[in-house]
Amino acid sequence: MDFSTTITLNGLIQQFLVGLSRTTILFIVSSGLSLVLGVLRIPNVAHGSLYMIGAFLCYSISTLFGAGSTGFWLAVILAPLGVALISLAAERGLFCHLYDREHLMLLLFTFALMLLCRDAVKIIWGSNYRSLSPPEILQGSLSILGMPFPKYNLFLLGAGPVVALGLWFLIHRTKIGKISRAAAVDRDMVGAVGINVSWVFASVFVIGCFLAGLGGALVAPTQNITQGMDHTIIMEAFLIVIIGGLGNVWGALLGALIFGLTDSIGILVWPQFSIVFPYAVVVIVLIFRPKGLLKATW
Amino acid sequence: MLRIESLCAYYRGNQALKGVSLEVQQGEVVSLIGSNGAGKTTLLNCISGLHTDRTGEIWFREKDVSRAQPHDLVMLGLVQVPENRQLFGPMTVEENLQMGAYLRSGKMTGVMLRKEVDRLLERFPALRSRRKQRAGTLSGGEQQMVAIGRGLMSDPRLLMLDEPSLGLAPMIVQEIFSIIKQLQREGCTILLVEQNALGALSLSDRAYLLETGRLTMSGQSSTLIADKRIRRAYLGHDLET
Repeated sequence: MDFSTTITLNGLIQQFLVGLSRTTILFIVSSGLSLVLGVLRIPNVAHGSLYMIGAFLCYSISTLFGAGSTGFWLAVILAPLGVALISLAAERGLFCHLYDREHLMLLLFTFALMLLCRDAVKIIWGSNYRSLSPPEILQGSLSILGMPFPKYNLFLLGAGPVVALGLWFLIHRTKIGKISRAAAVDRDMVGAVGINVSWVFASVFVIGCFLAGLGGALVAPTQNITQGMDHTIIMEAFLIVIIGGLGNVWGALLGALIFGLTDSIGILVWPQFSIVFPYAVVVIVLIFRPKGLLKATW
Repeated sequence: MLRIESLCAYYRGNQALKGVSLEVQQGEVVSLIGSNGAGKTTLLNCISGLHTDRTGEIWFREKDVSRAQPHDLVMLGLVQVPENRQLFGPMTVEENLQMGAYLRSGKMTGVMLRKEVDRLLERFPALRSRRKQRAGTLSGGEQQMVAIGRGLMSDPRLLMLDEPSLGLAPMIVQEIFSIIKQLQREGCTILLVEQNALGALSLSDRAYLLETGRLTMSGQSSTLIADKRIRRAYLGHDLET
C-alpha cells in the first residue's frame, strides 16, 4: 500500500473542507442532543428521527413552493419549526409526565418514539428516497486551490459558525440560557429560587429538537433523503456527545470537529477502512478521558 | 405570617415528622434547633414545597399553600436558603445572584438587574471582588454569603435559612451570624434552622426544639437558653450544672 502518491496537499485541504462542512451538520444535530441530555437528562434516541423528519419536511415544503430558491429557503426555515412544533406536542403531551421516572424509562420511551416516527415517515412519505437540489445560487462548485468545491458545502461552512454563535448567545446571554445552565447543575434548586422548571424544560426540549430539524433541513440537498438516515446520525451524535462530555454543548462542537475531520481525512488516507477512523478516535479519547473531553456542565 | 398545623412527613413509609405545629410572626426571627436527623431540613423542605410526601396544613400570608409548587411559594415571598448552599457551581457569583432575581426580572431591565446586584453586594463586601468568579471556587463562608444573597435577591417576605453555619470555621460562623443579625435589624422575618443551638438561640426571638420528628419545647429564646435540659443536651454545659 502506497500512501504518498494518493495524498497531495491540495487534496488534503479539500478533504479538510469537506470534513468541516460535514462537521457543521454533526455539530448542529449533536448540540441539540447534548442540550436535551444536559438540562433534561433525557437520552433522546428519537433525536435522529426528528432530524430525518426535518429533512423530509424540507423536501416537501420546498416542492410545495415550486422547488425553486424561494421554496428552499422557506423550507430551511419552516422545516425546523415544524419539527419544533412536533417536539412541543411530544413534550407537553408525553415527556413532561415522565421526568420523575428513572432513566431507563425515559430511554425506553424515546426509543418507542423513534419507532413511531419511523413508521410515520414511512406512511407519509413512502419508502422511496427523495432528493433535493440546492437553490440556484448555491449550485455548482467553486475552484479552491485548483480543485472543485461544491458551493453548497461552502454555505454549510458559513452556517456552522452562525449556529454556534447563536447558541453561545442563547446559553450565556439570555435568561432561558442561564436558567438552563443552572438546571443542568441543580434542577431542584432552580425550582427553589422561584423558576417554573416545567416551562424551562419544555423550552429547552423544543430548542434541542429544533436543532435536530435544522440539521436535517440543511443536510437535505447534500444526500439522499431516506428511511434510515435517522439511525446513522443518532449513533454519530451520541458518540460525539460522549467524547465531547455529556451534556456540554461546546463538547459537542469539539466532538463534531474530531468526528467529522477524522472521517473525511480517513477516506483520503486509507479508503477501505475509512469508516473505522472516527470510531477508533472515540475509543482513544475514552481511554484517556473516560468522561469526555470537556466537563459535563458548561 | 407562617402557620403550620399538625404536619407529618414520610420517607418511603418512615415517618420523619410526627404532627408538627409552629408559627412565625411578621418581623420575628424564629430558630428551630435540634440534633442531626431530628427532621429539621425535612420540615423546611415541606414548607418550601420540595418534599411532597406529607399531610397537614401550611398557611403562608393567610393563604393555604399546602399543595403549592416551589416556584409559586417563592412568588409569594417564601424563600429557602438550602443546606450545603446548593449554588450553581460553574456559574459566576453574579449569575447566581441573578438567578435569585429572575422571578422579578420580567419587570426589570438589564441595567436595573445589575443595580440590584450592586446593592446586594454592598451587604457582602467580601463578594465584591468575586463577582465574575465561578461560585464553585469560593470558600465555604463566601458560598454561604452567595446563597443568602441569592435568596435575598427575590425580595422575600420570609427567609428560611437551613444550617447556614454548617461546616464553617468559628470565625466565619460569627460573620454569617452577624449578617443574620443585620437582616433582623432591617425587619426581615427569618426562620433559622441550626444545629449550633447556642448561636441560634442567642440571636433569635423565639425558638422551637425538634426531637425525632416532634416539637418538644418552644418559647422565648432567652428562656430556652437558660433551660437545664437544653443546656445539658444542646449547649454542652453538663459539667457546669
